[in-house]
Amino acid sequence: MAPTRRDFLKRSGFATASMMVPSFLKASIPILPGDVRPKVFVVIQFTGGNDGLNCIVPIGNDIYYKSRPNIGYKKEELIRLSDDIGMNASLQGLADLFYDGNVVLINNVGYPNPNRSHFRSMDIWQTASDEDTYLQTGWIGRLLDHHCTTGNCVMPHYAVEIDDSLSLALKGSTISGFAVRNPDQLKNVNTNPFLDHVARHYTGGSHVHNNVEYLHKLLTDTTNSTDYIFEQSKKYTTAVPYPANEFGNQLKTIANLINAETNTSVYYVSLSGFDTHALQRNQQERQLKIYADGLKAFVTDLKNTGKFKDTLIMTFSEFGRRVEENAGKGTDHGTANNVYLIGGGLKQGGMINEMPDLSKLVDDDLVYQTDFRHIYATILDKWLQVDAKTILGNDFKPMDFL
Amino acid sequence: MPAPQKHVQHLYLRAGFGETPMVIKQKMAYDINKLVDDLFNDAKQYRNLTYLEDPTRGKEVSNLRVLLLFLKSPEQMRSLNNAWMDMMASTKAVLREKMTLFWHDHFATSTQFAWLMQVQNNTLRKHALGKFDKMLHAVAKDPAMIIYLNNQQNKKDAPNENFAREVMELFTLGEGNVYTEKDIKEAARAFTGWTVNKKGDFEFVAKEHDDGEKTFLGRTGNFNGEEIINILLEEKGTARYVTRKIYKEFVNEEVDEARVDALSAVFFDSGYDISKLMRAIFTAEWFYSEENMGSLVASPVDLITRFRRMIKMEFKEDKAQLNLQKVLGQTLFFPPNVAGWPGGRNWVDSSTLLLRMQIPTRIIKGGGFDIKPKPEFEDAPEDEIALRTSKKANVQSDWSALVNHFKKFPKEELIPQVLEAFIQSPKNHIDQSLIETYVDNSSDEKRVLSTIGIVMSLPEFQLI
Repeated sequence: MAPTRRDFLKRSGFATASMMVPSFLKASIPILPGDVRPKVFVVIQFTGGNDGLNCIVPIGNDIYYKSRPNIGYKKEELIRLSDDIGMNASLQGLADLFYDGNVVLINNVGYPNPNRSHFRSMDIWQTASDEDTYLQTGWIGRLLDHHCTTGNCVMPHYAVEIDDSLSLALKGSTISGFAVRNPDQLKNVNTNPFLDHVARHYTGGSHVHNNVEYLHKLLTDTTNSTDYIFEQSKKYTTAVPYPANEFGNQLKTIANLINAETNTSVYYVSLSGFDTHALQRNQQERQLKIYADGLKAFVTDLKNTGKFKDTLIMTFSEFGRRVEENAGKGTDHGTANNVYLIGGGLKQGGMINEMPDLSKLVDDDLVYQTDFRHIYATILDKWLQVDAKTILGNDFKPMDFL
Repeated sequence: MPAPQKHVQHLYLRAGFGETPMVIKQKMAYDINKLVDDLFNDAKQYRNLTYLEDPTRGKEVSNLRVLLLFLKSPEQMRSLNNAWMDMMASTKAVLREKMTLFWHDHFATSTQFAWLMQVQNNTLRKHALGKFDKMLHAVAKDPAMIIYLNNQQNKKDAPNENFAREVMELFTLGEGNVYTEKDIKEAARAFTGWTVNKKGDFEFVAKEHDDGEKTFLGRTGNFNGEEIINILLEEKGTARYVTRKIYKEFVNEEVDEARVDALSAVFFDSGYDISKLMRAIFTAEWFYSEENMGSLVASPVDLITRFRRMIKMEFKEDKAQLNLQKVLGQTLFFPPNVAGWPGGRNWVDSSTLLLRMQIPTRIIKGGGFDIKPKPEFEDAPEDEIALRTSKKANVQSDWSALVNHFKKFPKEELIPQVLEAFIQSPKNHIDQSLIETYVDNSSDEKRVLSTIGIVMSLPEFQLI
């Protein structure tokens, strides 16, 4: 019988995973001066174009009710954030955190010359490109690249996406992030013991082909990240109940990894179902509830273990939706949207800019006020401690929420 | 002079999708130049994609009908995707399909109109080995391209620059080469009135066209769209940009600029004859050098097609083949944007490399692929749940011909022979005694099959 993978670990002097950890710490993420351990950044992507105007609602705005006679929310249906601002009742979990001062709401976030194609607009958000530029790397991917060029090369698991495949956001030019749906499946990943051996014993040979070296390095990095994330996922199991749906499970996976003090700086997860062209209310409410209930459990979990102060969560979507409802009691693709930032390290919770001005639309759509890259720049500079310009190319002035 | 095995394999991997060791053995009796001739001759015997019938039947359709076409489109797109994958897996005209795939990436287009995508695909196939100038003129008037790059909205009173920009940036000169923002604006004026009518055909609408004077790349005249394209074709930069892209795709991502200069002169002087350019590449001595053979990361479509041709791999459901493409990062008819697929090393990351390497053993074990692509933007939550809980993507395959071929070799020659057949990059670092430790020796059959499986699982197998 062929030796198992674990046999190899022992035989090859690779030892057990717990013995591996210190070398990983040394080899990967630099511990910054003044930091006990690195901060964690979690991205929650709403896929399909979430209707922000029905999430944060301008109560008593005539244009809103005139534009949305069927799908507009009445005052009494909403959670009151202030006299003239309401929150969708399905976002109760987010509202609770808002009252605790753990949420920053930013309105009218977008970019110049908005693109109304899901694909293109999502690429723009994930690559942080200009509207007319096509980048092949994501902004998180370039963060991984940056660590390599500054001599602190990180492992793929520096940025983990909870999914079977990797989003463009996490793809760099020299190194990309690590995708895993369920860490339990990782133990079966290298079912071919021969490959496992190859991954651990490549010494280099051919210098004719850079791509041979590249694939072997990628395989070795991947195998190491696979081992590491699998071992980390066994270290901590939460007692906090999460909603029994896939998104809840994904957030639970992230929380377990954070609570196991995993050497991962960025986590990425998506929730889809927001392309509400018809009968929007039910569908959007269902997705918002999945989001907010999962989020509430996640934050409770991290608060219990004291990790929340080092965690920042950003929620965005590729665009908002048209102000006026369509004939199918839904909404079509729009432009500017709101972004939610949730964390224990925010300067001060609250809504930090004006609600959209529904009397000043362009092509029937909201006008953006804040370029999303200012939010990215803030997170890069003030949370992940990286010079944002090296990642974003241009100077985007950091904002004040951190 | 009979061609070396590795050279023959190289030619068929680059000019096609790879051939079985049995086919390679037959080809080895011939000279490389004769094999190149055969590839070009075989490319003449091609079929179009005929999966869809013209839904308009050549008549004007109402908007409602357009809407219906649109709603049916996701299934049609899936079937069209499979029809092309099947064509690549079964055709003798491999060079034509390989070139069509290249142009599909070069003129990257994505619309929801399955019929128009089929029309465009057949246009690319028709010109794939013909004249680039004719192809460029045809693509500029291609309905799917016009819709994709918003030329429907390009009108005299409100020009839309999208097509004008991309025709220079991506299709001819390359970004920032010679042209200016002003040239884009002027070119956009020349393309005003180029639109798609209700039959789904190209139509020039004279009253939307700006026939005033334009200054483009230093010339002044009342240029129309065709004239703008001709001016672009007169620029040697166009020949060089396209040649360089072909070199990166067919020869090596690390570009030898002097060679590209020479090739692009051949291309330009021949009046943009694509066959002449490709023949110059495939018959060049340097094409078969160690630094070029096995240097490219196979694209997902290359990889899947290679398996289909090698072991008659068949997917039991259309959706399974589409999902595999999605998860590996290349879905035909769905390029990520107008710039096409990034390609090269971008094809692999930690998750796709592991999946690629597991494909052979998963097929051998009959386990299929338990892969879950990301949901579509338009999916309702119910669709997503259905997608996520869908069964494994099962495949059928037939390894018997391969096993019989390699069974004929003496035991000690098996591993070197299998490596020679499937690994194109240098093999000096591959530890053959290690492979031997993992071979299943319980029967002759299993010994051969497991050896093939192990070799196809090597990272080097991903390089063609």
